[in-house]
Amino acid sequence: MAAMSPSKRRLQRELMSLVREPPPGVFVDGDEVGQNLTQWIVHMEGAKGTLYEGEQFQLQFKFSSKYPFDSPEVTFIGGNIPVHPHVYSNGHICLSILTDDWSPALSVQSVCLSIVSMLSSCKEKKRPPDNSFYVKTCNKNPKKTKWSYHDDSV
Amino acid sequence: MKITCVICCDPLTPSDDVFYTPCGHVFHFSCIVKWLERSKSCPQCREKVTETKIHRIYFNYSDTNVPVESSSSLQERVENLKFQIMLKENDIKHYTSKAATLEHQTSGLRKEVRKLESEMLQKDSAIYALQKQINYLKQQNEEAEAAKKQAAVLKRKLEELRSVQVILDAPAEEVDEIIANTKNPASLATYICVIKRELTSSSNKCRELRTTAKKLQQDLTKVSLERNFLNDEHSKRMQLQEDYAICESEKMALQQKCAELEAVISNCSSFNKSNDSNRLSIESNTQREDTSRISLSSSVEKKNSDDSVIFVSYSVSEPSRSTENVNNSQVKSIGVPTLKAQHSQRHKNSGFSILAKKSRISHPSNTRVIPEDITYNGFGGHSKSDNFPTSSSGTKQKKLNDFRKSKKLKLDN
Repeated sequence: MAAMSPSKRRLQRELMSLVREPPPGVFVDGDEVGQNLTQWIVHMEGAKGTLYEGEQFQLQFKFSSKYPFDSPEVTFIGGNIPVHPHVYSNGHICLSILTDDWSPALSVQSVCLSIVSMLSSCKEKKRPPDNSFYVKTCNKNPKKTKWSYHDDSV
Repeated sequence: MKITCVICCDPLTPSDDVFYTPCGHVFHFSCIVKWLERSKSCPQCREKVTETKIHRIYFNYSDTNVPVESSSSLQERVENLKFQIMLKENDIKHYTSKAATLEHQTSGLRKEVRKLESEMLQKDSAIYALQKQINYLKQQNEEAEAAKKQAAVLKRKLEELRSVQVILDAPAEEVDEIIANTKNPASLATYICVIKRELTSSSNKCRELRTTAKKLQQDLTKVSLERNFLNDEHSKRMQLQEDYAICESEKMALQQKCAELEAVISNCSSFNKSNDSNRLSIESNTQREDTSRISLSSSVEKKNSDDSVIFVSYSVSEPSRSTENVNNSQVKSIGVPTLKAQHSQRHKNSGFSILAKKSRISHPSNTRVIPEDITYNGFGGHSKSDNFPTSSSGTKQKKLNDFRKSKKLKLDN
């Protein structure tokens, strides 16, 4: 355990806390993640009383070796990608804390909570206006996109 | 007091270099420096922070705190281990379920294997049965082939025999042709044998036929001799018949004579009867002598009644021809000439008897009183009948009545 790198150690702790006390509507398969700590799949369901109630989503977290100083790469995957003005149809999420506003004090749990709150605050289910263009031209890695954050309501 | 660094999440220990920001947040020195390389802000509150503005902070840990610290680290380790155990337990659960499914699968596969084995056994038995059948059919086939061969041999033989038959039946030219066509010495030999046998048998037959012909000729001669003899006999018989005819005519003449004589007799009937009867008897005797071939036998039966009835029966026979028995009372077969004779005789006799009676009736005055029990025999004689006493009185009475009647009749006459 002592031989573990600081990033691995932190990820281990985060996984432990997430499995032991998951926030409502979030679930992590510990066995699945335990095999490879650098890539997590977090299951999430739409909060009650919102437009996404009853829907199931999968979030993929990819951690680099520089975590937590480097932000994780977070995208929606699977068959059901939420229709949201800040979520592109390829699963990329336009959220400032995932790039510019990242802080090492943030964790997987806090990111999940941010995304749940972002979905919950949605008033109209629709794709971003530049969705088709972005999907055609973007990089695989959402962190390489130059995001311009304009919606501060989230 | 448990304090952690939010960047690495590790607890802050007395040995660590702990620094604080102007906004008052506490971090490991290495952690905050690493972050400040990327962004000049506080990780917790995003306040502007530079490397120059962070300062070292020193805590005064009490001695009693040392074991507490150690205990906290131990606690952490325990939790870590617990987490590991949980992971392992999850693993165990996962693998046990996997094992269960695998066991299930294996049991299913075993079942399938058993099923397949049983099927295999069935197929084996089926194969065995089929092999048996194949063997049986092979045997049958062999038998059939043997039968075929035999049939072919028999056919050949049959053809040979047919040609032999043809040789036996057909005319000589065809036989010649067949013999010329056959090249097989064995068949030729058989033909020759057959022909030879046929020849000997036919010659034997010829001999037999000759002997029978001889016999028949002998028989013929015998029969012709017999025929000649019979012819002679026939001619003899014809002669005899002629003789007979002559005799018949003679007889007729004699009968005529007889009739004449009878007429004469009737004329002089008043004269003694005995004389007449004598003459008659003489006549009849002569007649008998003349017709030597006709024997005449007559019998007269007398009845006890006063009206004497005369029954006369004749039997005439030709001794040279007829062998039939002639009874006195019954005539079984009568030829034409005999019938004639009979008729003539009867006529003669009846006439005689009638005449005799008539003479008696026509001259009642002349008749003497004749005792009742005396009967006439028709030849001029009379006899006295013996009256046997009868048991029944009725018959006696009847007889008596009859007697009276007859008497009355006589008186009337």
